[in-house]
Amino acid sequence: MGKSCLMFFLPIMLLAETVIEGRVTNEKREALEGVNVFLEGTLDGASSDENGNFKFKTQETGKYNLLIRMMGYKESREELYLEGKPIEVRAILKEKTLKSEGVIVKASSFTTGEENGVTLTPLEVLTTPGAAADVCWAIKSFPGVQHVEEGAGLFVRGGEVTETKFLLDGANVYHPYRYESPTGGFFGTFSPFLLKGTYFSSGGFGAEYGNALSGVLSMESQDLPSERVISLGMGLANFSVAGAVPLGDKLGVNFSGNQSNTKPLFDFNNIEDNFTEYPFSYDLNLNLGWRYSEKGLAKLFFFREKDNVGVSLQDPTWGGNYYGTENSNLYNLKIDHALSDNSFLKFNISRTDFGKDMEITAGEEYVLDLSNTDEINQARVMLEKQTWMFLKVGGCLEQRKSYFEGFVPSEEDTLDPSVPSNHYDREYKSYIGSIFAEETSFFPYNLSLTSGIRFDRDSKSAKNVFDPRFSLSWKTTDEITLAFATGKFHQFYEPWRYDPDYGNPELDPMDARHYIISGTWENDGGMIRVEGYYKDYEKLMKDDDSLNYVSSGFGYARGVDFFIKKSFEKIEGRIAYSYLTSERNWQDYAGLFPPDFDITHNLSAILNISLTSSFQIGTKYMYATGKPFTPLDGEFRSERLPSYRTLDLSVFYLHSFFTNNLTIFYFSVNNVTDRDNILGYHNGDKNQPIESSYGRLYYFGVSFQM
Amino acid sequence: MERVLLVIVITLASIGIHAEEKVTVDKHIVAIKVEQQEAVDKGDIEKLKEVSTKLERLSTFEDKEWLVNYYLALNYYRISTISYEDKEINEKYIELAKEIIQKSIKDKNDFADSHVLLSSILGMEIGFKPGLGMTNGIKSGKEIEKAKKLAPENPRIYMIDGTGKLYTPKMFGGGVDKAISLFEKSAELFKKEENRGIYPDWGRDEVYIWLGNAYKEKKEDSTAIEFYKKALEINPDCGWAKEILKDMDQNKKENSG
Repeated sequence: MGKSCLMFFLPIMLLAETVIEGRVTNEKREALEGVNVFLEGTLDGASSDENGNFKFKTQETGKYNLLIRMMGYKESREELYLEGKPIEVRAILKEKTLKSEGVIVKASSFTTGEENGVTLTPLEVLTTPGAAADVCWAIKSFPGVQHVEEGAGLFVRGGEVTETKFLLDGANVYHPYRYESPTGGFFGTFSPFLLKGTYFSSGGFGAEYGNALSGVLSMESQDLPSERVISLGMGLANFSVAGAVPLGDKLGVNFSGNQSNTKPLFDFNNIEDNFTEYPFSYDLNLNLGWRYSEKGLAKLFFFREKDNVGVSLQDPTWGGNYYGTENSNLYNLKIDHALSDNSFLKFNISRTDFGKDMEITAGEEYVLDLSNTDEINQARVMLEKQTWMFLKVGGCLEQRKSYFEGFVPSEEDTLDPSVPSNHYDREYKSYIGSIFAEETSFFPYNLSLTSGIRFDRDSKSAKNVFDPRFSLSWKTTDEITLAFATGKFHQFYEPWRYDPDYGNPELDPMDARHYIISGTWENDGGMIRVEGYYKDYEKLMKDDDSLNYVSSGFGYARGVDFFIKKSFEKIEGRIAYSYLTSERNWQDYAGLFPPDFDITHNLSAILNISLTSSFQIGTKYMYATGKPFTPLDGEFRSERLPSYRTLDLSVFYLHSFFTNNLTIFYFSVNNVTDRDNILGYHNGDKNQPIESSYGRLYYFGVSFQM
Repeated sequence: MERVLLVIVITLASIGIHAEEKVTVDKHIVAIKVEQQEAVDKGDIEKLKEVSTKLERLSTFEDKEWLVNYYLALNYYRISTISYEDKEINEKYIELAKEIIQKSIKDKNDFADSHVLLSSILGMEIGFKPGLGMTNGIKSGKEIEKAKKLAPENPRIYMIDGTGKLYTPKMFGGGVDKAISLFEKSAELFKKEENRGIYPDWGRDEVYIWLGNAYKEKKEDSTAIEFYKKALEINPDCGWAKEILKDMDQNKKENSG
């Protein structure tokens, strides 16, 4: 009996026992230790040893999935047929490219396919002292951005303000500032509360970003809300309502409305101003999300903004008033769809329109009266695939229509009523088509190389540009990463610059080359980054007597950026310092001279202290070398304004009045020392300084969430 | 005949295996729960990592995945707290624990213990990201409220609530005395809590350690020692209580000697 029993079971056991062995490595072919290798739906498995080897036996038979799992890596799955024969498996695990929330600075993380840059969350924007809860103002406290003017304008590493490109959910944003001015504008158009995160790069960015010479700011809107939150905010100059409402598992809506009226701010602070109409703006946002399946999310984003301001112009030779009003609308449909475990499709189609009316009057007379509308329709698609390399391929088609009507003085920068004016009534239409491809490969010794190529064609100038871009990164130790990046960058002019009467149809696209070398040291709670760069600018716009403009301008920028960030228990501090030399021979310059944005030293130091979990104090000190200017009866751009300095302070206090309530009280003082910063001199005459109207400024408010 | 029998045996065996699978999830959970508690008592990180490996495998059984994930999150949370001296590991595992418990709550959002665990995780996160103190404190409180609504008699709710209060200053709604009354309430409820089989029932000993910690904070060392001893009485293997008592004893000797 015993024998026959054995006879019965022997075949089963022989059939059943399968040995599975193999080795697990990462993409760089390095052994992975502690990987969980097992059969799905069973406890049969093993953990890999220090050489990445594993071996186990199983009694199971038939079809099974072998799962290979490790934290920080994408799971691998292999179908096995178990029939008693030994099986050998070689598996390669790919690193997950997780975007972790709350990370302030991404190191030169070329290895994960992300460019070197800064990512900011809305709360970080809110708690940056002196940043007035504005995305652009907060970005200005990072290295590589020069303080040129009071306001939001992002001048990046010796580049002009228009050389920084803005995107929202992949849609190009050509008018990213409120109260637009030649130096950008006073605030960013989008409030941080609409955003999930912000990515900023000060150079050497990837091939997916085009038509930008110097920098990129890419914003992402909020995703599907997970719980219902309604918030109300009220401050000295603003009132806002916002909400996030999930509608079942798959649908959700985020909405907000903000109104800002600055009159109480100026009145409360007793600021002498020259506003005839106080800056006033409002914006509305509706963001609908639909998770149509496990694989994808569709977002419909609508945004509307309107602002106006009136100022009396105090030019000593004549008196006048400026009045400007702006409105913009953005509609964007964005779809993120996972095609498979390792490939991802991103698609968006958008429409933006922008309208601006400007008037300058001297007494009863109009010196300038111009209305400008801009309409942009865009479709963009990008495929991301991760195999043994990381691949991005995509394209974008954009149509832009601009319309101008009215008149402006014929001499730029001269607003004197006695100067004759040019009348405009023109419409311009242009198309820009782009395709790009970029791949990142990984090599032994923690080396990775990203190479990309981009092609753009602009219909207005009928010019094609090719931009090859490369970056190499070497992680020498766990804490130190060295990187090098170089590439070509192009930017087309606004359509009206190609007008045969007021511009020049033959203008070439502007051209820049970046060379960046960087070293990052990062460990628990601390980071130091040093980056040196050289940028070569060509084909810049130069004034010409007969052709209006020609493409013979050139220039360069070179500098070093330092960034130190350290957090102790309850203290978080960061220091950004930039040293820059930028010279250009462009516009009406007679040779190489420093432009306004050649700010030699730029320092921004921030200290945030969490006194308790609900009480936070922050302070910021900012120093910027004064802008170059031409003194009265002096050499062209031979002197500098006094340095610009401010000390800002902010206090946050949190309280919960009832369950599910979060109330934030905040109080801030900008320019604590009440320093009179000088913004310029009338006609270069040092006896006629133009002083900043922002002396010591108090602001307070409350935000209530439930 | 033998061949027929063989076929029958094979068929039965395979049916047996499949039928067994349904029950095994529960059986495995109960076994792993014991293993986990032992590893926690010994402060054995390697053992806890083995438990993680098993739980990861168990989560592919397509049965009670949410509960398996609860234990997996708890396991990561234990690894994090035991290795509190290594900030990097501490942070890494608490982030993992958060990810997994959120997944579990997504699958089943009316399980009070999951909300309690998430509340504690959110509180711990503040430790290494003080900037989160502003929002996480509130979120953590919300999770406690949710748990209270679901199972007002769950002793772990009041224990975790108490640990939060213990380190929050009085002016912000915390304080030692508030913590003590919460721990006391928790201890009372633990007396009523039976072995819950596949469901979590940890903390019976820990609540007395927390009471001890609270009295230590009040500089009432003799009362504290009473509570630590009480914890050991309930769980003679409780490594944490042993360690504290050893340290206190040493300090006493050093002070007197």
